[in-house]
Amino acid sequence: MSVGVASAVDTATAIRAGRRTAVDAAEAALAAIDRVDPAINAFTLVTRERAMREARAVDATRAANRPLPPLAGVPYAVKNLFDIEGEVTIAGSRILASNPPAASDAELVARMRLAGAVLVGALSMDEFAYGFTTENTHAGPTRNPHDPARSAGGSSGGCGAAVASRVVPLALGSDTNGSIRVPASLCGVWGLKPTYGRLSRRGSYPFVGSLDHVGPFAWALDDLAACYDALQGPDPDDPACAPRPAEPVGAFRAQGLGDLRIARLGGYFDAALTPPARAAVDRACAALGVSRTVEIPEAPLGRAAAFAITASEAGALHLPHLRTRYADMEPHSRDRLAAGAMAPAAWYVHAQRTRAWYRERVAALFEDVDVLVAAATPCPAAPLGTEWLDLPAGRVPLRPSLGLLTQPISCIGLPVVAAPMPADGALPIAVQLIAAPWREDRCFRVAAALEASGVARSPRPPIHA
Amino acid sequence: MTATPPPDEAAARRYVDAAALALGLDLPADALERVAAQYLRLAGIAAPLVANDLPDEAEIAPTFRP
Repeated sequence: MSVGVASAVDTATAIRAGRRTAVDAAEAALAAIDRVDPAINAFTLVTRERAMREARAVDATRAANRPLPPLAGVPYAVKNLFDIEGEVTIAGSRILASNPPAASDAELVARMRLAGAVLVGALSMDEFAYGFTTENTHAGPTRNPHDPARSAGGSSGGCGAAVASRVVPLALGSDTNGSIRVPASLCGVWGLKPTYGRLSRRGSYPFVGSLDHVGPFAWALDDLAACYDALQGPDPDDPACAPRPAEPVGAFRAQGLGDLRIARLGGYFDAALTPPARAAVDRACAALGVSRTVEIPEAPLGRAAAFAITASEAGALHLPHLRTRYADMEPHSRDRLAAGAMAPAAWYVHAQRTRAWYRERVAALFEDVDVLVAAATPCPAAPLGTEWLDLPAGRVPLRPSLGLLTQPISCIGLPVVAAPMPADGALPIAVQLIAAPWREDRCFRVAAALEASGVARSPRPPIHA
Repeated sequence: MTATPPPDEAAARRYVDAAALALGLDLPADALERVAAQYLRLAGIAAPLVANDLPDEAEIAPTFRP
């Protein structure tokens, strides 16, 4: 086995048992970056010195016979909107590159450090997280390891590409309208968008405060759960982080499906699918024995609310940049930000009211359903530069439409595991496993059943470590 | 400001010109054309939200709890 393809759990187990050192694992990940990244352009920063320092600390802990934390020696990387002490947080932009370095780690980076994980770098994204394709004009596009002529998805495209290519077993990203689930789908990896407020966002560059989530990517489901459990817990210094104790999901395999009530999302969530996306949902539902279909008639309004809230909050946030640095901003998104800054306040208020109303309607659905299954994206990865997407209902602009199945879910903060559903000879695509707020455990239980049935797994791409 | 979407491209352009002035955005003319197109698209998205007849008790608070 190539050292670059060990999972997080296997790496930590080997280090704990003394079969491998953390320094060896870090060196392997850094070598994998050197070897693979020129083909995928996922990394914007490689933190070699820090990685070796953290790895040596793990090895010293073991040498002193002190207990090792759960992710001891596991290499990982973060979307470049997370603060890394001593590095500039650029959030995919040129403008922020002249900011001073971060004085401390983002809270989730600090928690990964406490869990023993070893940070090897920062990953590319759409500027300010406003996009679904990571066709970043400043850094160049991130390329899909399954076909480098295609998009890795976005906005956490670097996360999807780095994990899919097995350069790192774990990455941390963010998801406002689908930015974990879309690249997870297009790159064929597992992704978790937890409940809104579950994980601390402190020290991550904001996009849309009332919609921003953070969460992990992994190519192994056990790694996704282990990482999520390491990140959980309240953060009194983040007002958006819920004051709930950690609710570990580590026992999800032992729990099995049990009497979970699972349904397929039809209506809006079925109408926009290309054949590969519909086939993925069909395979998932067949494997789970799902025969029931339910609808969320209000989903288009939920998506519209997400759009309007995103435009207004992001436009307001970046108004100073629009005033003074418009020419330095990403051409793919600066005009949308300007339009959002001009949106009447009434649109925003109506969107927030609609969102609260929509949340109650969907909450009622969860009274007799535990997990919903829907496609994560309407299609697999498109070639870079693609402008239009042909759906059964007609031709739509590709870049915003990649989130049409994810936006109605994140708009109301529901937890979702994106489960990769490979098909022979086809590009990757994922399904969303959606549960009621705070029930990430149910998403993981269904994910485990899909994996056990053999239909869900992260396919290794042609470009890999 | 109005909650009524601009009816056409010319109205959107007039609105964007005025809003840019109000917000202190000194954008090039070709950019204002593109921003107006984006604004018109956003107006189309917002229209059903404004038209949605919500109950009075629907929450307005900007802080969201799932």
